[in-house]
Amino acid sequence: MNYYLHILIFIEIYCILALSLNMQLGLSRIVNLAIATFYGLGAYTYAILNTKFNLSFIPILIISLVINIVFSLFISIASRKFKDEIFVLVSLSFQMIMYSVLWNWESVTGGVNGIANITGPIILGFRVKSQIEFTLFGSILLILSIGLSLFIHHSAFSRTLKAIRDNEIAAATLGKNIYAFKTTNIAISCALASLSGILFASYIGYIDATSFSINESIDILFILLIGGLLSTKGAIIGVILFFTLEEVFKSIGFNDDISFNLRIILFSITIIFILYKRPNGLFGKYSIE
Amino acid sequence: MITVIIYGIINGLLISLLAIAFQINFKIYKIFDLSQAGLYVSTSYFFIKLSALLYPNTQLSSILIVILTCVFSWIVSLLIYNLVYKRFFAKKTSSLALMIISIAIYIIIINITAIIYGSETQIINIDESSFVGIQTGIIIITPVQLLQFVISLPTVLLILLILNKKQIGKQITALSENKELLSTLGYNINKIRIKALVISSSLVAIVSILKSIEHGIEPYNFGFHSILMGIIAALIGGINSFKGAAFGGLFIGIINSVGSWFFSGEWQETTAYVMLLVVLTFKKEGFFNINLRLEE
Repeated sequence: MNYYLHILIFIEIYCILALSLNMQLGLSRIVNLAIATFYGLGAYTYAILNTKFNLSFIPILIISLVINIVFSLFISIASRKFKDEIFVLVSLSFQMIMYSVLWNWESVTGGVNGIANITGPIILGFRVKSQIEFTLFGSILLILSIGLSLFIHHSAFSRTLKAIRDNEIAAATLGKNIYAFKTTNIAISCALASLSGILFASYIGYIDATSFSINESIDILFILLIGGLLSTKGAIIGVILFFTLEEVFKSIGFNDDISFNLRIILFSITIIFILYKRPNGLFGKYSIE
Repeated sequence: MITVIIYGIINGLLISLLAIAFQINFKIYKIFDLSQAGLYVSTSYFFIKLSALLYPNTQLSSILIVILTCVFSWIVSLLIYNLVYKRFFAKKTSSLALMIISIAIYIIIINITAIIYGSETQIINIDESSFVGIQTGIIIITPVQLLQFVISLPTVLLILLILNKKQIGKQITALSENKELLSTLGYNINKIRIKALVISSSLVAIVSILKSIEHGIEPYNFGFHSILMGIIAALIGGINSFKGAAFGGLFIGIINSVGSWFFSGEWQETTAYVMLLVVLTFKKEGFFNINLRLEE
């Protein structure tokens, strides 16, 4: 296994996830700490349909998108009812509940044993197997995600969402259906998160709930705040910084565990510093401050 | 079933203390302060390491350890306030951004703890008989649980008395409701915040000590779930009422205990999260809130 390709694939996975949360956080000011749940749902859908039903990529992708969109309705309804910190807590509770379900529902998710022997996706009769093939597969998914993200950020849809975010009442007065816009945004974003889950499950070949915990949600949130909200470039650079930092610590001579801890500490200190000195992050166009 | 409810009450009293601690910080900061989870973890490590250092523990050294642990928790919480929050308050940063900052502080503390002490579970060196259940009538209870009950019940009652009847409690509530007026009347806001932090961090320290004796500690999951239970209890009881927080803690403790009896231990905390969603959906102001809804 080539270690650098391995890191590259993880950068692709996290970039898609960061782009996904960027839509919710940047366009609708929704701090969704359940983003890891949607990442996990994509992964589990792929794992189950791949190992138990041996489906090819396209049907799995469609089913996975539908499942994530259905579950995204919870976030939509919650965002309609709750704001800011209370919404954060509600999304956190949803994340915890879903984590418990993934961890304990043994007959479907494999419980603590997880799901093993997941094979690569079959696309047009070709099975993705090697690391290079997965890197390319991930690149295609990432390019599609970047394309979608850029398209949305430059669309009238995005401008309407920003208007709703900044003043819901004024936007509603102008005849905009604020809940329809928000629900659509959240649905697209959660569907995007399923792509990263599919890539993760198919590449690693084994999943359990620990890969989709609250820590993953917090990591993605911090990556976005450092890179900057509403910036595709910021989200990608945030992810690259996140992964390269750990490698820098390893190259200095720290062991894996300490490098991991140091990365998280440095990232968290940076978050505090950024929110104090540069609330828009490195390349952001909006701040939650 | 009675034993299950007794376990729930004991656990609930500990959650009540955390709920009150959360509520004090909410009243003085106006934020959901998740950095308390970091305080909880660092305090429990300080306690276990100090206990090992002064082992074998006599009654005198045990009291000294608890006092020093509380002092340590004051220092950590005052450092967090002075180094971080105070600067952001001066900038009038939004409460949502401050909540994210509190998560960052928590993460910094647990990772520093993991670097210093490792990520393996550590346990306190006490007699194994402390964990063996003693049958009293139809109730089976361990000496550790008895200790938790004997300490947490009077602490809950005492803290409620202080917060509802003494001047500091009234000052905390006044600070929460009208900071500017309190300042105009000549009260030193900073001093009130420091006093409040000493109280809330002491409560966190007491619970972290009692919990670490029972389960041992590890940096990553030990604090976060406990503090979340406290927050959930405070919201269920009512964010504006200390009595509500205490009631919410008891309620969550019993619900968790009964839930794990009906289903299984793995679903224990899930019951609390479901309860939070139900209460926030149907009774946003909590059971005991009088005049403040969460959106206000």
